[in-house]
Amino acid sequence: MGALLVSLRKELRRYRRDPLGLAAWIGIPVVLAVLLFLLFGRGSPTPHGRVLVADQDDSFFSRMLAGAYSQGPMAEMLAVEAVTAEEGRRRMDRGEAAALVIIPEGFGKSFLDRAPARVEIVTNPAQSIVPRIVVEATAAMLDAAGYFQEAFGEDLESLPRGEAPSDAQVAAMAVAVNHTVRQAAKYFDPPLIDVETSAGEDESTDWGALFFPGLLYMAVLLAAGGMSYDIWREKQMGTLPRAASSPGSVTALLGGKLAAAVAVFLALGAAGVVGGAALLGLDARRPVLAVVWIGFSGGALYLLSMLLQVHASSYRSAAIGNNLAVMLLALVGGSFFPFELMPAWMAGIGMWTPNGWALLELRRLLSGGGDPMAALRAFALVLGVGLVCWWICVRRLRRAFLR
Amino acid sequence: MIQVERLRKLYGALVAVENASFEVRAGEIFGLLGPNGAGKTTTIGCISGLLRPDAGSVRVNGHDVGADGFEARRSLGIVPQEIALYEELSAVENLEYWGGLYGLRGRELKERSREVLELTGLAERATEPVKGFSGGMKRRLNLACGLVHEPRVLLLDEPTVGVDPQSRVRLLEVIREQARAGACVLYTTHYMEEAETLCDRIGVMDHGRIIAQGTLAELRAMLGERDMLRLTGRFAPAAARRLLAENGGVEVVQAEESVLLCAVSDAPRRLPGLLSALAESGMEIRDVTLTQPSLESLFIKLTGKELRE
Repeated sequence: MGALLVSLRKELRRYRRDPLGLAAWIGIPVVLAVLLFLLFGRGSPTPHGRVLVADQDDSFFSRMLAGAYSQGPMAEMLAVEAVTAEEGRRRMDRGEAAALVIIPEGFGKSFLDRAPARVEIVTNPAQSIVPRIVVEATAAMLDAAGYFQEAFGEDLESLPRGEAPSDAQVAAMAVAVNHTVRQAAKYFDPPLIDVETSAGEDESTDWGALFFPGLLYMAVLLAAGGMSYDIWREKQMGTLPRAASSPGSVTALLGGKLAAAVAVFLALGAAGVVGGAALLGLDARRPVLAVVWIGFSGGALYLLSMLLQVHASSYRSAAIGNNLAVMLLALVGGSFFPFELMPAWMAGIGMWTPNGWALLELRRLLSGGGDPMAALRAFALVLGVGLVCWWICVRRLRRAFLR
Repeated sequence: MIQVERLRKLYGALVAVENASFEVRAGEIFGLLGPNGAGKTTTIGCISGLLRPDAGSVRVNGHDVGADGFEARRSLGIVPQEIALYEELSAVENLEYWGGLYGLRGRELKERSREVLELTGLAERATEPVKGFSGGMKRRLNLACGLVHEPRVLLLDEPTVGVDPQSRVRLLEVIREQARAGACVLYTTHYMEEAETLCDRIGVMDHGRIIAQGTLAELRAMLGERDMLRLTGRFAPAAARRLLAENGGVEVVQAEESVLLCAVSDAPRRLPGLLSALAESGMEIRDVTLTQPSLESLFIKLTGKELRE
């Protein structure tokens, strides 16, 4: 035990003296997490875009249409700017907005006269989401206007053409609408449909919860690979055979390395869970258990990586094998792309990779789901796999790797 | 303290050590001398327990390395050929690590670390990272790490390779002090001068076998009072052997088309006659080297080649 602690202390000192080594392993996932934060911020992502509106009619109804883009949920997505048609076209040519809506002169009169009117929408081909929102929203608004016209056409007839209605005319219109609705109410009220209301889960995509645990495991994988690779450096430096010739032997050396790796994973997990909550709004229901899980499963991944190292035939093949394994596992195991965005067959494979399985368990712990027995079984399984890997590694180190 | 009996170690079909037997006593420096690939490091590996012998036995401080490895390792201090240090750590941190592996703790560990740093002349650089040290300083620290736990048996595998003369003198002096204090030292080297000046007894190793062992005086006696004569040029090997054999007091060690090696008694007097005889028989002599009896000439006599080949 004493030799193990001596070895652990030495490893932690080495990490402290060479923080760039650790930073290099953790740097890639951190950069991706920062990009994720910059792209989506906290919680669900909302598309944003600029919409230019050229109102050539400047009537009551054209202003209603132009103002609709700044109402309700669209106000969170769209920044509406009034322009002339020419200026709007020039700016669209420069790609400065997602869409240009041109409401033609006579739009209000056409609406009152139930005559066809043509609203022109110019979209930016470089963007996909916001232009579609503008087109769909405009179509929906014009459809609603059509239905309104069908229902209240006679009342609309009383409104003046070419000028804003007076307060009295608006009030009379409102009374007429109310009257019509009341008359129609006997056909709809009481409703013949029973509505059952239940609180369902929020199905909006939480990008933090989706991507961040995967990025955490990418950092764990890269760090596990890098730290286990150190066994080759120790062999080349001569410190490994020297330690193996001491009473502490390779067991203490490997034990110290494993303990130091677990300490790094625990720190990484704690920083990740706290940082994820602060930056990406990650909702961690069982944060302590999640951090312990990252440390525990990280230790097992470290030993799996060590298995590769001690079975490699040379320094170079160990490096190549390690890089290949890390990249493949990160790719398939849900670290680069969440399982939800993968083809079903790939997600099916990825969920059974060591890191993919550990990632799913982490997500379960973060969401507060799963029963305690399932969590206990997961910990026991990791412990079992870790012990087998440990036994093989020590055996291999003693019998072949050192000789 | 170290007893090696009929040691054999194979790497596949390659025989690395064959039937090697020797003993090193307390307070004694035993030099294992041989060229690269002679089997010295493999022998050290078997003694330290890193390698498992294919035959024979190794005992360290009375403990069989195979059956009682832990106790055997506790007595050992190892200074490997490589500079086996953590360069990002300081000198004192390295010492604390290696001392800690041998069970030293707390005040005792700090005290011993300080002592060996002073012994090796590194006390002033104790807290600096090793990566800033010169090659000689690293070698001295490498030795210090093997001494920190006051081992009764020291295995030193070419500890002065690539060391500046000043550091070498210091290292050799430290090793002598350890022996004077009662440690049993096994020292491998391919530097003849080191073996001659440092070791009480020497074993000469080649192709995995110990081909001679004894004190320096005993080994010199094996060579007799004869000098070693080395001729280079163009020779007819068979004719040269016959010609030289006709001269009493000349033993041909090696005869090739370009090199002749002979052990010659009373060489200064015989040399002109030998050279004339070879020249008259049509052989061409380009270079003549006459060496006094030494380990080098003994090695040449025993193996037919120079140590650094």
